[in-house]
Amino acid sequence: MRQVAIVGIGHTRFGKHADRRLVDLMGEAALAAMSDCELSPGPAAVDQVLAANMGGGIVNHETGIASALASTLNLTPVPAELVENGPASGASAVKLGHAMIAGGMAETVLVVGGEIMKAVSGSRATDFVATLLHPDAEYTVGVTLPAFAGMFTRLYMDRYGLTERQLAAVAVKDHDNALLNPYAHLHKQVTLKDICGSPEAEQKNPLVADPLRLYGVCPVSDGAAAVLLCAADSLRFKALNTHPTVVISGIASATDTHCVQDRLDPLILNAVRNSAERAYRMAELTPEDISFAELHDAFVILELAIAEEIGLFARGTAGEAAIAGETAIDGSIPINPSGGLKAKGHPLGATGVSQIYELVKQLRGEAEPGRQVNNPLHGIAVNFGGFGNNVVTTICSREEP
Amino acid sequence: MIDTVDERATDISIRAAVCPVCGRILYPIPLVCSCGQVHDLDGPPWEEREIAGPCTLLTWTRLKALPDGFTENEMILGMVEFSNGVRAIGLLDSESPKLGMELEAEVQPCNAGEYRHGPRYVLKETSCVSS
Repeated sequence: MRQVAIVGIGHTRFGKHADRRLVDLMGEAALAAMSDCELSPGPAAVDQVLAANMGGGIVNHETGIASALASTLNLTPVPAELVENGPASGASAVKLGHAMIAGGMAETVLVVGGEIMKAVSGSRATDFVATLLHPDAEYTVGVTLPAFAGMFTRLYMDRYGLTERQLAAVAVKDHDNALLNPYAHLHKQVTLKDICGSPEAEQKNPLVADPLRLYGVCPVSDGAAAVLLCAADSLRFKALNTHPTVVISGIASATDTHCVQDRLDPLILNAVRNSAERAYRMAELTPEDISFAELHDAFVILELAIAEEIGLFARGTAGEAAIAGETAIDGSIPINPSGGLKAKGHPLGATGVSQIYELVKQLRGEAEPGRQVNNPLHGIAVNFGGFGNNVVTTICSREEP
Repeated sequence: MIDTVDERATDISIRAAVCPVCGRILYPIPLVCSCGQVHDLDGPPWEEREIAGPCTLLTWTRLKALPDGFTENEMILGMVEFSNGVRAIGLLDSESPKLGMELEAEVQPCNAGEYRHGPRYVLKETSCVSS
């Protein structure tokens, strides 16, 4: 299998871009990724474009996004396809791009994820995301992703004694990190006292999906991110590799039952565990080798549960670790130095690509002062589709010169 | 021909299927059982049965941000398990839900918004079940 490097990365600000066309926003991230490796757009610039998006057709009334992207970037006649895998579309597209290069179909693949969700109301955006649930057993009932997160949180609290204060500590840490990330949606510092432990705090941090509160849930965001993949043994790599070398050392995905209630134990995230095990095996690494993680905390409970499922903490202990500061930038295993979905934002199709953007930025040592992890060698990202129905785990590593 | 009858929400039963090979009761009904038996192909037909009645609350949430189509201010949703092992999610009609409480699942039609039409469970405290 050919080794695949990430030579270019690009990102738009996450937040509100409802006045932009989806393809233009994705094109902005793509151009940034090409500029990052000093590549000019043109018909022979890359061998393949993969676009990642979930709701263009439903929310923005835009389809054919991959071909429109290739055209507006003047990349035609490049092959271009759209990858849709719910909120895990971004990392799925990176996985497919990796497979194309590793398998010899391409030497360079431009992966661009993007989403514009704020063009519609919050209730419509929530409804659109819920279309990935089972149409009869879940969607018709009124179940949403926040509803599942609320039910999951209650069960987790009951079994492991997780406290609201521990959950709030995840949000506080994510907001701190996002404050230093120029691309993050929320630039707002909060303290534990602000959002937990008093009637004033409860007013500021109301219940959304009991026991999950407002600061336990990610914002609805627009945004785009892009990465340029390149075969590490190619001549083009020598020209495009203008930063410290970062490679994809492991990438894998797995699925779980469509209906969450069908799982023997609803607290076990099988797809997270299976995809992580495969990614670790491919990278020939263990959880102890990981320097930092970007985890899919669309709901803060998921940062804890995913961290445990991929072996960073024993089951039921991640909450204590969060409040002890172990997951902070200067902690033993920094989690979500970007601010995570909770504070950086969660434009669905962009999220998985954005997580990998962050892995590369950290491994290069190029993160902004204050949120750069100390000398990282291996970073892991988990992109979580549905409520754990389809999950992609990616491990990136810095190659020593 | 123009179809002038909307039959989307007229069937208010919720049905599961029994795998003729392993006996597992399956809801929602898949095309293939976890034992590998394919639904109604080259084998005995799958018996269908209505699922409702007594069940136990596994977890629940009070949802404050409802999706498009619902007009209520909030909705309580619960995940339950029936005595035959089938699990389902329904609307929870209880002011003070507790994990492990016994409930009675009734099937009622849901018609919310453009796409939510069909039967759903309403989970009631045993003392509040309609006669």
